Amino acid sequence: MKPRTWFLLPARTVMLLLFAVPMLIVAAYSLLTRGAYGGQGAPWTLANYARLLDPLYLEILLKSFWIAALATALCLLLGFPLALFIARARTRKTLWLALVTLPFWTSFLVRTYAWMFLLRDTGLINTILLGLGLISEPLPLLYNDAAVVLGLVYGYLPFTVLPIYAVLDRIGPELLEAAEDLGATPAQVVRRIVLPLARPGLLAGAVLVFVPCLGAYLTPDLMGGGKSILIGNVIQNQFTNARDWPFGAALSAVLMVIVMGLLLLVRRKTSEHGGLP
Amino acid sequence: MNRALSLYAGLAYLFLHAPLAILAVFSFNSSKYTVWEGASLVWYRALLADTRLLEAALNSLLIGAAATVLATVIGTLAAYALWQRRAPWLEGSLYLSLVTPEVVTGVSLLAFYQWIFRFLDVRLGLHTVIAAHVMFSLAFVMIVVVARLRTIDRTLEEAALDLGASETQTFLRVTLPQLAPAIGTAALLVFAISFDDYVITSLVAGVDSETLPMVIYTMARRGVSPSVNAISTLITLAIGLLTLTAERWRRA
Amino acid sequence: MPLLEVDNVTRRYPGHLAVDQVSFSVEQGQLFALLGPSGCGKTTTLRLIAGFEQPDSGHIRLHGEAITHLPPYERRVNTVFQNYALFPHLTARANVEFGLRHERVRHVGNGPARDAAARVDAVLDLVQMTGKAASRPAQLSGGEKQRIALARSLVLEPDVLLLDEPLSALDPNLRKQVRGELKALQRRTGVTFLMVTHDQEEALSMADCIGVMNAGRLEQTGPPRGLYHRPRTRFVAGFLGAVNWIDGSGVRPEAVHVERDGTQGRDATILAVTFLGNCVHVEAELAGGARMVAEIQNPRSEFRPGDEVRLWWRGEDEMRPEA
Repeated sequence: MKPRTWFLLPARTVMLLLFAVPMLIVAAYSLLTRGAYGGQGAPWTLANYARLLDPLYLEILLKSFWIAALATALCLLLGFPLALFIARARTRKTLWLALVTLPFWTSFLVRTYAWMFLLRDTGLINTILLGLGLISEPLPLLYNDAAVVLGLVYGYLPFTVLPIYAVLDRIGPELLEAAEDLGATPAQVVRRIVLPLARPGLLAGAVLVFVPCLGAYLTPDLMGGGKSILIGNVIQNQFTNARDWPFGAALSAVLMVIVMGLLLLVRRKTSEHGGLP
Repeated sequence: MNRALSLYAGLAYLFLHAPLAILAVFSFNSSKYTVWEGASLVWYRALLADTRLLEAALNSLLIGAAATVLATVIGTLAAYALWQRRAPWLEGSLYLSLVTPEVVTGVSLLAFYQWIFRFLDVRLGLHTVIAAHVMFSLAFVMIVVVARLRTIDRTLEEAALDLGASETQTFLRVTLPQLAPAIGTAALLVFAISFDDYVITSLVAGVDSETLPMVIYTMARRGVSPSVNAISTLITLAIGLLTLTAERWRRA
Repeated sequence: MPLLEVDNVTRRYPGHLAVDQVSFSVEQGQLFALLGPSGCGKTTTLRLIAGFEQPDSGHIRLHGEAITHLPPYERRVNTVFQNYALFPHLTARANVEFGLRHERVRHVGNGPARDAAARVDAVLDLVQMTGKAASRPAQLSGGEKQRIALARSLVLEPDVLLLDEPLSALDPNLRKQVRGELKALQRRTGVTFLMVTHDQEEALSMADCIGVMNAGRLEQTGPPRGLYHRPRTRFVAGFLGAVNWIDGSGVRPEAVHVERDGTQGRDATILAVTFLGNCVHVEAELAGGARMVAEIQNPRSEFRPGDEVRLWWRGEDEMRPEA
């Protein structure tokens, strides 16, 4: 059948106009100087990138990495046994799987708010504890780094369960039986057979969680309050309140380069093992 | 081992669902505070009186509907074309759009709009939000539709041509019916993502085009309000029902 | 004038010639088999005739008119695909009806269109699938799928029906039976069949005329017996059946006679004897060191490895391919 070039035309127009061109504009802005009243103009400069070396921003960048890594590790740790449970379930696999994906379909904002409702000073947990007389003043559960990590884990946990389940489900029961037959204990079966075979799924899950966590905006903004600022918040702030678009653009460019570099690295790793794309 | 795993799974499902369930329960609380004082629909009634909220909900529905139709049609056409030939540039940009942090997508679109408005007499508004949503939804449509296309036997198209159907008839009578479930899923996905988006939307929406997530965000920042519990519960229910119907329809 | 002519057709793929200057013609009412190993270009030839691909050079004519560059939907030929390619979202009956909707395009000036429903009924009856008309392809067995695929094409009354490995997707024990059915269907309908196969037994038993292909070239065309007994090339000889090559000429195992104390023929020592039920294969070494296999239907005496015997065959059973 003849390829229909015009079928691609609308998608190409959208992606060129609303993705490629905006990215190029950001790249260009990152090399311009901030105007007196916001805005940007000549001269061309690398000063915006030089500002990134300021310990203040370096620290935020490092912290973003650290929080994203922590959330990813927790998602993998919590997601693996759940995926294993679903893969091993003899009945109702679809139901168990749907129960993992269902929260994903509901609003991210609503899910974040649900935790705020629980963790606030006047939230459910503190109200109950106060009511029981276990504490005399509210515990500071919200507006700190731990709350941000919790919010991220809650938001992205399905992203690790699904790919890990996908690989675990393909491991036939006869493989596990063979291992047990050869004298491996259940724990050894998991460690020596299941985990190595699940590697592509673990890696895919890690990428799916780490990338959005690194650029997270909503969770640190709502659950970290003003105290837990990550790179995503800094970028947003430069384009809104601070009105320093060139610097915000430089931060965006750096974040993009980091994300792309990471993905390239993972891609090389997976192609070595013949895993996911 | 298995018992421990089941116990763990129970706790994990509790972790995933309890917060939303508690939120829903407390949306029926008659008290303004987090203390149960009896069931009531007072907060749902309050929603109906909140014109700002209703207007925002209408905006969100409008944006969601428009973005769903546009992104699904454009994405399906492109996915079908990619079935027959490669388009490295388009595929690359779709992949990149998928991994770009939302904040970066948002600010780049904002920068683009501001730049282009120097030449055109338009302003930020619902249309800029819709355009943004179509862009970031395209990759999702493509993923769903391409996955379905991979399972379709290519000789079916040849068979249709062989039996006298033209290329357009072949697409409409053979390929499209088989894609229908995937297109439905893709449309639902786009609607859910569009209806939920805050980060990108808040950056490219004009002052007079507030969406539901933007209102909820403002309310959430201000403090706990049972109204937010109520609207959150409604959204969760609506999306949940939509997903379930779509799933049932897909299997039928 | 032949019904279908393939005239000096070449199809180039990056890196190799899939079809290399192939010419042959198919007469009205014939069952023509294109035979060859996988990758020999026989399926590509079929696809060129169906119109899914275009030749780089050469012509394809139907009733003397060039159809070389017509799209598939404007050719009065239909294909039965190797995997049948039944539309999974349509019932068996709707699959058969599929092409009738577009028939006017093909049958311009072909007289008044007959009642479509009656034609579908008739063809479903012909392939004995009336009872399964409401089933979906997923509910049909392999043999049933094939019959629906045949009905779907035959209902359009094509000038030539193209069949791509029609038996390969069936259970082996079903194949022999379907061979006969397919042949009978062809006789009954009188439709010209052009079939692609890699199975020489299938081609020999079913076809009126066989074209043997190898590495993109058509090596020889002719009736089954002629090809079997008078192959023009060593490849054709070997592809149609086992051959003992000796001094540049070939002898089929069933033409070789084994005798304990004959006077004619050549001295040989038996190396191995294999019992195959309906016959016995005797492998023997000739005096010069060459080896031969003889296929004996009713062995008079029992042969054992090490026995000294004489092997002989008739001069007319010797094949002398040119290449």
